[in-house]
Amino acid sequence: MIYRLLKVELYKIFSRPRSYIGFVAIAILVFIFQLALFVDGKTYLIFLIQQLETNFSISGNILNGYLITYVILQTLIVQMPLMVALVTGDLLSGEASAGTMRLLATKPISRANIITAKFIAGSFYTLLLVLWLGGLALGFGLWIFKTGDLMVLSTDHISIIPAAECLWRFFAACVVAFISLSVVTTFSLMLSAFSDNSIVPIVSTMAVIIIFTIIGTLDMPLFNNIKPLLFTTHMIVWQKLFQDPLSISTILKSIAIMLAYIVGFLSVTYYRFIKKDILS
Amino acid sequence: MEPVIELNKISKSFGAFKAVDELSLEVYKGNVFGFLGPNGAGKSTTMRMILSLIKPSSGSIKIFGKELTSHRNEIMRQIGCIIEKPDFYLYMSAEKNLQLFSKLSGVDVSKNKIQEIIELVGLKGREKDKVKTYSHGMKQRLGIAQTLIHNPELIILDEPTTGLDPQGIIDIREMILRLKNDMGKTIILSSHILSEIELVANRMVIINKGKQVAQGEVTELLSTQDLILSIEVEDGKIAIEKLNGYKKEKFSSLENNTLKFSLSKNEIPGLVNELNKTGIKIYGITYRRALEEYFLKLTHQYN
Ligand SMILES: Nc1ncnc2c1ncn2[C@@H]1O[C@H](COP(=O)(O)OP(=O)(O)OP(=O)(O)O)[C@@H](O)[C@H]1O
Ligand SMILES: [Mg+2]
Repeated sequence: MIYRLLKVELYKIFSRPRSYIGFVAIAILVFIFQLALFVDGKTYLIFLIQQLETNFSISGNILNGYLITYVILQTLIVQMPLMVALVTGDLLSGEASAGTMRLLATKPISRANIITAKFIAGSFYTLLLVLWLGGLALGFGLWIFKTGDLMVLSTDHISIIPAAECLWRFFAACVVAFISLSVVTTFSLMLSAFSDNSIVPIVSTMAVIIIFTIIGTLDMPLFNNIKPLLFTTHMIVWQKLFQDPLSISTILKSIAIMLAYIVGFLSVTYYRFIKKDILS
Repeated sequence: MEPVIELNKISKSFGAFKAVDELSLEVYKGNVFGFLGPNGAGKSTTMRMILSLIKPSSGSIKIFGKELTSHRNEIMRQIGCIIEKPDFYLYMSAEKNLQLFSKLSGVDVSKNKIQEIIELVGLKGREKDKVKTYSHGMKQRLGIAQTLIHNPELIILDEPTTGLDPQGIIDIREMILRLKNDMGKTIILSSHILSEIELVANRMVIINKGKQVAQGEVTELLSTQDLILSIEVEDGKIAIEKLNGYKKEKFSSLENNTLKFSLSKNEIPGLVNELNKTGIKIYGITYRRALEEYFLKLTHQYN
């Protein structure tokens, strides 16, 4: 039965125009980025290196597909929560406002299974978005700009990742990014269970992410204590996969915290939805 | 015979407000059971409890002889319903909606069966159109189709005729009778219009403000033993004087030269005869059954 329900949920997601907004937006943004870097890449690179204020001798193909992908991921990953929430924040509340929840909830399916199916379908959607972004960026990046060692600049040092290591790191980055976005998926799904219209959960999800991100960038003692508790702090952990030396334990710790959030948000969703009177 | 539905003193409160108050009833197999009440009486709330959409604040519900709380899925497989407005996935076609909901009911219906049902509710030719493009009446028809698609034993229809044109109302009435007579289905039907219930139901309950007002066989509740007779005459006062105490105990009121009596049908000829003898001009004679009169008063409070 859950398999049936899951198929229906996926069908619902993919038969709505709004579900394609994210895919189209990503495709356009990736295209624009690659075009810009293709035309103006050298200038951009010089600008980047100037920021280092050190003397450097550059050898080999620095402006390669891996660098392009990294820059695209770093820039676009910020918009991903909106694209995810647009669909997942609507999963329960959208049915409530459309009135279809009334019918759905009278079918011989337990409320818990409704949540499970929606969670899996929402996660699948999120995964596709991440793969779409990663795939487009990397695919076109390598095709147009070829390969080379990846030079990553962080605040205090430079890491050079050999070309041969880039592929698995990008793959791991997509997995970690997927886990991060799953926090957004479950958070918006949870809000969705409390609302009878889809605007509130979508906007609230974005508001919370923006507030948390801003707190995360403020360097104040008051906030420094709570930063490790904010899920947004851990959502950029995929970048740590491109640092030398690789700090596996930091990455795993962040993943554990994010998984805890996912479980927490899901539990609240189940609890709320199972007890809820369906009045819409 | 064991009832298909058994409500035992169910109540539902929203905050301090009691929407349904200790309602008990039984619905038997093969019957059409009418749920009559003015706006806000608690019809939809009761139906939502039967459908496990909301939990009763107190009381118990048995369907097909089983506790609803512990046998929910098993019970729901055998129920088809429309509750409040008929809402569908607007971005899908009617056909796709039906397919999807039947799947969720645990059955895979064939394309032929879907066609058959679409034809039955009079939507043939429009089944490929998105529900977005449907009128309210068409959605209501699709709603009926959706209740039947998985061939359930029990059908719950919450005001299924709202928004339908006269032909649509007749179609639904005939469909209900066919479901009951030819297919032996059990049907619960709610309405705020007495005649709509009377034409199809065997038993009914009247509720007001969440409480039961009357319950029983429709023919008994609406018998012609208990009528309110209105006679419009030239001058009411003189008419009463000239009647000289005839049926005095049955007289109830005089308003705008209209005399009202509570009596049974076979008393009408005698009274009219007596009035004729007085020579008073009679402009009109109408009667309503007592319960009808009572229900009209109930609904008038809201209009
Ligand atoms: N979610 C809710 N919160 C508070 N009160 C509610 C809620 N739902 C229903 N009510 C109240 O419960 C009462 C019964 O409502 P219900 O919808 O069952 O009436 P109804 O008999 O179906 O009326 P109608 O003929 O208008 O459909 C009403 O007074 C309504 O205001
Ligand atoms: Mg109602």
